[in-house]
Amino acid sequence: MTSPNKTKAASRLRHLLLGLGGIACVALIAYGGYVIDREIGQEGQHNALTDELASLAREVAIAARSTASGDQQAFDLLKEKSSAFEERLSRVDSVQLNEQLSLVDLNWQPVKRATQTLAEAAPRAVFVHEIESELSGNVRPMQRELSSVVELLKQRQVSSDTLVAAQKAPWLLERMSSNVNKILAGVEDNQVAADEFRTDAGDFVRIVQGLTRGDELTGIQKAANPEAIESLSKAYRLFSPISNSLDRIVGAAADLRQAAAARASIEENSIALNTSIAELQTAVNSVAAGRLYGAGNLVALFVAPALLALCLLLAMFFGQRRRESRASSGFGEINAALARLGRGDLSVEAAEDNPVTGELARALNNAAREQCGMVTRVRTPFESAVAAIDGIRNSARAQVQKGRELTRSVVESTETATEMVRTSEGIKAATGRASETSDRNSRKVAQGYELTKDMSRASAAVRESVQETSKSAKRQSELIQSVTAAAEYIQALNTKISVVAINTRIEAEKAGEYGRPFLGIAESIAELLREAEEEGRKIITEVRMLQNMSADNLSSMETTVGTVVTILGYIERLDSSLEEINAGSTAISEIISAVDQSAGQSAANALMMSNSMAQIRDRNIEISELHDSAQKGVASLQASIREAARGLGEFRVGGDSLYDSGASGGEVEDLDSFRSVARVYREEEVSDPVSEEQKRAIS
Amino acid sequence: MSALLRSFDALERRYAAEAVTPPERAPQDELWVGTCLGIAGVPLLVGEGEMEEIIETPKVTAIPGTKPWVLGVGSRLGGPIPVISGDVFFRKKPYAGRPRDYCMVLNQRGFYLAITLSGLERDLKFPARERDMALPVDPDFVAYALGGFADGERNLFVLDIERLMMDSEFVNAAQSKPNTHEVVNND
Repeated sequence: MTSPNKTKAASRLRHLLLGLGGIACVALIAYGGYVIDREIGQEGQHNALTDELASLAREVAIAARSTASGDQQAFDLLKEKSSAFEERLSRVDSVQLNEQLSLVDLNWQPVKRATQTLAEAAPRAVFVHEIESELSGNVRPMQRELSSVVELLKQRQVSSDTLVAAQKAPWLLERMSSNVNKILAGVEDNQVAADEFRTDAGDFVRIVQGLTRGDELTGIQKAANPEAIESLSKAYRLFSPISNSLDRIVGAAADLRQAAAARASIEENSIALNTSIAELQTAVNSVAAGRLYGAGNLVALFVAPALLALCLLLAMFFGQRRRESRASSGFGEINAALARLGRGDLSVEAAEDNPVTGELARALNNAAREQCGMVTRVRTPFESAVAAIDGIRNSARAQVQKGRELTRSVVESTETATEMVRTSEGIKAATGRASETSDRNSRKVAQGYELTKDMSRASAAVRESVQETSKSAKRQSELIQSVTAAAEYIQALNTKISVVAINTRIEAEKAGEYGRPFLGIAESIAELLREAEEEGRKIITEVRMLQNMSADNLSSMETTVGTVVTILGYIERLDSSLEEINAGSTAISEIISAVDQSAGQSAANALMMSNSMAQIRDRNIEISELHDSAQKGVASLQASIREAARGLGEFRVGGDSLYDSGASGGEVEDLDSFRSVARVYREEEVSDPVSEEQKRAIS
Repeated sequence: MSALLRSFDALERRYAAEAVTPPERAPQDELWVGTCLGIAGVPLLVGEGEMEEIIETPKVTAIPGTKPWVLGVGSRLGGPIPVISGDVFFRKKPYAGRPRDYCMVLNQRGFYLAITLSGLERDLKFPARERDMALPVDPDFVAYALGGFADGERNLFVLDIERLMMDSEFVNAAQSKPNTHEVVNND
């Protein structure tokens, strides 16, 4: 009576819990809607500001790069973008973004300092840029004017110092232009360029003034030609803006170097700045989303209702499934017990703890126990008969075991005898082939003797020939060395002629107009010398190649002689090896004769073994007849017991049977198998493997 | 008289109408002339008029208390001439290679000396417009180079003799701290 009450109470409790779970789900979903509505806020404004910051940071980097051109507008643009960045950065204010904002500010400070450095260097950069533009525009006209001065001075036969100074002036301008570019670029060595620029400008002014007024200290003569003076005046006028602002240009080098460093600093730091702004943008996006999708809110909004609903469904499902499983297993066990009873198994017992089928199982178990008691009382007289038959069966099995061992021995002996006869045949055939091979080897060794003699003679001839060639090559090498020495002497002579030609040209220049014929002679000598030098160089190169080739040939010949000597050594070793092979062949022939005699002895032993097997066969026939009589007695006893056992074998009590049909119900089948084994080894079968022909061969 | 003047006028007009104009002179490239030689194994150019002569290296007498690149005093045309080792001066390290057979004599700005040469080629001419002021130069010679020319596959820079003569290191050959074993006793 208590069990149904308990079941009803449990059912009510389960329904109550399911209802409470449903109400909790609805409440959690309503709370989620409220939280989503509350958390949509100010992130839109912060997003716009961080986008502007990213754009302005890139524009500051671009404007800083464009200040390298020295344009005033680029500096103004840089200042404007820098101020805008500062203003936007101050407007982003949020407690959650403090860490990212401080990182952006940290990366912005070096950029800001570099921007201020660029703004301070702006006037000097713009000035040097203007100077550079003016100088690069005026260099070509000034060089043209100075070239015309050089032409006019050449016509007037002025001193070499004057001509050298006038020729140098255009190249000084070229270098000044290059150095102004270096100063403007602010490269590391721009101070060196500035110093060189100052020196070159001083030299240029000194040369132009020397050519205009004459300079005794440097040996520069005054240009008397009015056209030359006009050209010098034009060049000096074009150069005057640079000479007037020389100190400012040189002084600007340090500022421009700092400006270039500031540009590099902005380039370097703008990467980190952009990265920190990107992190700030990510943080702005994640502040609102983080609050909305934080771990607590996610549990409250989505995970908790879903888990609750899932738990309720699982509870309902498992309750129903457990009830069905219990009923199904109870009926299954009763059905199985009934089936075993139907087959006569009285030891069956159904489970009684199932609440659905417990009573039915208890009744079934009582009926089976009563049947079991009745059958046990009939069983006792048969146990003594079973023990007697078991004794006879064990005796028969022991006999069968002995018969099997004897049979295996006969089989093995027969196979061994057959194998011995075959082995003897194989040994005889092999010794015949070995004898033939030994004869062939002797003939080959004789041929080998002849060949080694021929090879020895040929190697000696090769060695003599190579030694003769080596002597010739050494003589050739000596000749090449002599030619090399001659060619080097010609080269030294060429150098001396070159000295004469250069000195002739210098003296002809000193002599002025009177030295012109000697100038022509010097040029002709120089031209001839150039051709002679080229040919001489070719000769030396080719002679050196010949020298190398000769050395290679000598080395190769020495290697060949060494190889021939090695071959002669090998031939001697080959000769001694052939002698050893010959001695070995004789020893092998003797061994073959001994093996042939041993094979004949082995065949005789095989015949003796065959006779022993014939005697064993007779004993086997006698044992077979004794077994036939024993089999008949056991078979009659077996038939009577089998009839009584078949009736009782239908019942099973307590897990074991009254009569085990597998152990005592079958025939003594081992005796049959023993008989069949004995029949295999009749006389004709034993004599089969060793045919009459083989016996003759063995004898 | 007027007839004579008219005749001259007519002659002038006829000349102006019929005379053949002289051929125009083709503009010629200005040529840079110099000597190609080698110092400390580096081929270089010395401009026209900047070198006095090339001589065989004379036997020298060492001068105590001078820098290592001063080989000593030799004789030229009956007078003394200081001989400078180009290898030691430009490379700034001792030289122990093949003896240098020839020297270049310089006589500028009051300095009269000879510098040993590692090689000697011949006089060369280049169009002046082909001069390259940014030609790559051996690092030991950068301070004394004034542009240069490409000669086939090699680059020849122009040695600025004037700058060499103005170099304070070159013009002061005395040892800054003379090595002396004499004991100076002020007492």
